[in-house]
Amino acid sequence: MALKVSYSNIFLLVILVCGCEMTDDKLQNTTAYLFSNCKNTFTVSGSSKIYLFEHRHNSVEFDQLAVFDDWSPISAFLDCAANRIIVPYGARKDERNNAGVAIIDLESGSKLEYPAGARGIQGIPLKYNNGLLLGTTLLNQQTLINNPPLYGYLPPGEVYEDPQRQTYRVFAATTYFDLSSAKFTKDLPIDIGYSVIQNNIIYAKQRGAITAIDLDAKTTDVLYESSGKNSSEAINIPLNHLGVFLDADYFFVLNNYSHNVSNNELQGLEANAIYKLVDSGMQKLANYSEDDAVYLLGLNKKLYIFTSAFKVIEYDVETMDVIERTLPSLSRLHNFRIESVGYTEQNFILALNSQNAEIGSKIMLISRDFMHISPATSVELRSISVTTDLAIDTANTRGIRLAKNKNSL
Amino acid sequence: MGNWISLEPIVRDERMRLYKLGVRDFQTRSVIVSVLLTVFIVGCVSVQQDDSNRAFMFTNNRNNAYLIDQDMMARQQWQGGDIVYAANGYIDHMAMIDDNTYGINNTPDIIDTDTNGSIRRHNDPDRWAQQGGWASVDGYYVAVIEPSTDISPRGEKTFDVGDVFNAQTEITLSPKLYKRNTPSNAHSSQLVRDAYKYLYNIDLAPSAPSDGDWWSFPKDVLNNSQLIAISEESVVRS
Repeated sequence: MALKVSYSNIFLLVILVCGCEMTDDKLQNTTAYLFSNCKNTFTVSGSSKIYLFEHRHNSVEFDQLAVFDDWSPISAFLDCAANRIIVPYGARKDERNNAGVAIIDLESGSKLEYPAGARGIQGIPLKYNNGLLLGTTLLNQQTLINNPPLYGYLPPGEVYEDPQRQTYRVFAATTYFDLSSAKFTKDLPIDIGYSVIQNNIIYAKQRGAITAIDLDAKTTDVLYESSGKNSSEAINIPLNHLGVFLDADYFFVLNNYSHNVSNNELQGLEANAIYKLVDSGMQKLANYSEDDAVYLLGLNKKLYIFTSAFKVIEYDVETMDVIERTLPSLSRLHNFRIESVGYTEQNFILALNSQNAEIGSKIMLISRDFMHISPATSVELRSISVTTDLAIDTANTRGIRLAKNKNSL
Repeated sequence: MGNWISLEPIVRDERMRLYKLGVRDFQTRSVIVSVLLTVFIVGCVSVQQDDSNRAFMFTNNRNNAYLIDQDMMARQQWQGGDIVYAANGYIDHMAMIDDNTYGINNTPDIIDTDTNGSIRRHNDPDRWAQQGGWASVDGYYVAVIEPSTDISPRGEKTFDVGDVFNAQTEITLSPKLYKRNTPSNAHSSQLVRDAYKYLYNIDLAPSAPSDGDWWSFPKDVLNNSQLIAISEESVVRS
């Protein structure tokens, strides 16, 4: 009996050791082979899942590396060096106070959440040092000592008086999440709006202005300021335009939703035209064929306008050449529209959303020279956005639309 | 390598889910039971109330048709102070439009409160709707009845966030009036009500008790006859 037990124990021990070794082996392989080149990876996230993909070198073919169930309305991105996915999240469904940053460890598959409390998180996350700058939703009241404040933008007409006749401004602070300590370490008294960051200067598109916020010097320069809501002579930049920052310049195009006067009309501006802000004014750069722009990217001195008819209009800001291309294979995808466009060094990544709420979205890749296009891959997502190592949440840079007519959607 | 990798995420995914359930197993079951009960009870009530609201709004529009320029209504844009009512079948929510986003920003902002009653500004209506999980988001403006009995949209005073803050200050100065016996989704509609009192001297819920006792926010506001649906506005795309 004792001998039997002993054999059984040895047998179990062998199985246990083998099992442990297999598990270790798996984890090592996971670490070593989950992605082969970070520059070719991209995440696609949205209403229910976070997908991690990688395309092959010099190819539009791509593989799904991982998928996680989670709610990620703000862009998730791969932190290659630490082998993890960073997931800033706004309030999740039915949890209006729940916002923060989640970190999914790719080695173990475990997820840890770091709540930001009731502040809420919104906008485009910005990579800054070894951390993230995140816009918040909670409004702060700040008594005005300097008017305007040196650090932070004060829109015209937005100085308020409290019942004690003290002047104040309101702003939603920016919070900094330090990735090395995995903590929210500080709040900045600036509202970053929709922005890009370059050399520690945030170019922010915010309430009525474009500003350059120097994070080191703690100063704010106003590059463009609209002339005010009540000005009768001014031509306002239309609501619902598509805009991008390219080398600190602001370019925009208009579409069917754009309007700058009442009655949903455009005044003093043309649809199907590319504009740039110059000396606080709007300069038309070029026209393009009549089509509805749905997405705008700015890359390497070029603008790429994606349209509802699946055309891509390329505008070179130096030579001012316009090239229009049609993507015929996309036009076979009925009832889909371009929702978000990301990019790697080799490819554009198109996220296509279905007009039918019951149908998920599709992902496809187009080489940056437009010579190759991949088949469409389905993903179970609504409100889809693409994030790469080069572009952190491109979904919002196109601007947001308010639908004017439910039937037109 | 490709085949092995494509299988692996499923394992990880399960582990993550198990981890979550393991930690919150009891909580999860309790929450599920509570949610199902709440959905059943509130859902029944909501269906009745929603139907009555729709009938009310339709009747209201029809009765006032001779006073309201329908063409003007069709062209109605979001304006500061417009009321946004969002619902998802078992909870509802109320917010206001802040249209002081002229110029660069692409859309008007949405002002609401968190469940603690603190004011928030959302600069992305799409994501606000997504995050709230709202199945419907409808817009309303408040018609002001002038002495001549004409109905015109809103008062003359421009909506701004400072006034909302000052309205909230008054709420806060009243000793916890609105914190008592009210559900967590009530704060935002309380803010809407008090902002309108402060801004336009309009009480959107005149039949509600003024001492802050429980009342059926935000439906009391929604049932006000001065609220006119903005028929062609929506912040939800599907």
